[in-house]
Amino acid sequence: MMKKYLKALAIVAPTLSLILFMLIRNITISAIIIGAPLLSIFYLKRARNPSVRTLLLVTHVMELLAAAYALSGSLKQSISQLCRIESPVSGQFRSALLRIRSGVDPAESLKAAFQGNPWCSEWLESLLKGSVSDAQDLFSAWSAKAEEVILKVDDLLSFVIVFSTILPVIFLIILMVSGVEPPLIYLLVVFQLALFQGVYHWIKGLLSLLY
Amino acid sequence: MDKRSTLLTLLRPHPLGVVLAAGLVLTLQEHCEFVEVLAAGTAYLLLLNSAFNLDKFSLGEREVLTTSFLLSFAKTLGRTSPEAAFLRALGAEKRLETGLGGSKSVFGSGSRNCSKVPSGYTVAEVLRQIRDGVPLTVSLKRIRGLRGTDALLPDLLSDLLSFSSEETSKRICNYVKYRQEKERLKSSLSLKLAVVSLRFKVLTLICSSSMAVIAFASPIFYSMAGLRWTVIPLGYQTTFSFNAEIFLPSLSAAVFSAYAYSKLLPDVSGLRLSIASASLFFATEVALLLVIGWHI
Repeated sequence: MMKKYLKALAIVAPTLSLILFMLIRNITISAIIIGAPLLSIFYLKRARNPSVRTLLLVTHVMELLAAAYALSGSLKQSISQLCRIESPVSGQFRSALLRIRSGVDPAESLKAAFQGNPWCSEWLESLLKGSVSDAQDLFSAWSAKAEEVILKVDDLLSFVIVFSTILPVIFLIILMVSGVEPPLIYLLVVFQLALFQGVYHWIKGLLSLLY
Repeated sequence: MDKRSTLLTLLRPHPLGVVLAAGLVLTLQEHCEFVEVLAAGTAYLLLLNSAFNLDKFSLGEREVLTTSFLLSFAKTLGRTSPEAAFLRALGAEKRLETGLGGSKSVFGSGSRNCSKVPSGYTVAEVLRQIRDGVPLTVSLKRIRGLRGTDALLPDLLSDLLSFSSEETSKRICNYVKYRQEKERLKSSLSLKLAVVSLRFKVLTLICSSSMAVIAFASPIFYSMAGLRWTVIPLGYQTTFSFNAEIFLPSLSAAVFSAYAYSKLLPDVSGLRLSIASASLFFATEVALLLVIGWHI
């Protein structure tokens, strides 16, 4: 948690000082200066949409389980192996294993372990019903989710590219027509930077699921 | 990312960041006091460092245990002992790779994509152990440093081999199916990324050229605000001349966009694109200055 704050502070502090400095230099441009970070925040909120987070989590868990199930052929052994490898969800697998050891059914314990997260896929339900009999079922479910990731990456990247290439041109004209002093055009870079910082880790997270 | 690397990302001066920050200092020096210029320049440099020093997204490393090796191992497993099957699969893999690409080895070293072989107890060590008479089930357990789902392989293979060779062979084939499915998904994503990359390159260059046109025509836009540089009183010759105050921030915005966002696309070289973007910006500006200057 501390690391997150430190990182946020490291980015926010110079941005704020730069914006404040610009504000002091020209009060009339305050609306545009405030507008740029607001737009970035709007975008950040959109990127932090739970659906992206859920998609990341679900696809990651599915991939791990599909690979482990393919090798072991048993859900219990898959969970026990997945506890050993370093991943953002190893804690959940550990808690599922503890339940299994206390006599709970593997599929039920898996569902219980992931209950706190926004994840309740059809695939997990089918596990409970016992319809997953072969690794192929897991592959198909994981593959369908991964296709969703690919579409999401495509959407997100296209959106970012439009923001990073077309918006600066429009903003530059708006700044000039508003009579902004030339040094304040650097705000365009600050705006682009805020947007970049906001989407970088999300896109990287989505891409690294498949690479 | 730990505290140290976060600070390093922020404080390690990036060459392009330094150049762009110098541009800001040059623009501000006529408008502000020395302390203000220094403060703004430093804050700007820190911000640029925080973006430019981030890792570029790159394609994944090659598997240590290749698909062809696994298939060959699974095929031979039912007929001989696990150790003999392992050695035979390694031999077949080596022959195949030597035939295809000269000196490439099964362990991933020797090829351009495989410069980062996971450290730790690798397949080469397993080979040595087998030759020393250690059972494969024992030596497999010692393999460390495999990434992603491959990290599951040694332990599970070892457990399966202790149980049944036939079952191991079947399970390896299942795992290979998973890998093939992942390869299919990867190629689908790569295809989409290639389209996005091309779109990004084209749009970046268009953006750069448009910024140059806007920077050149800035007196017209500023005249709309009614502040200064009105076209008529100054005359066209004075109005449409090179203006560093507008040129530098516009160029910065174009170059920043090209360099930073290229980090999200694996096939785009940020340096090349930012150089192309800056060159196009210059070329457009010079062409406009020459053409308009010649006509007026």
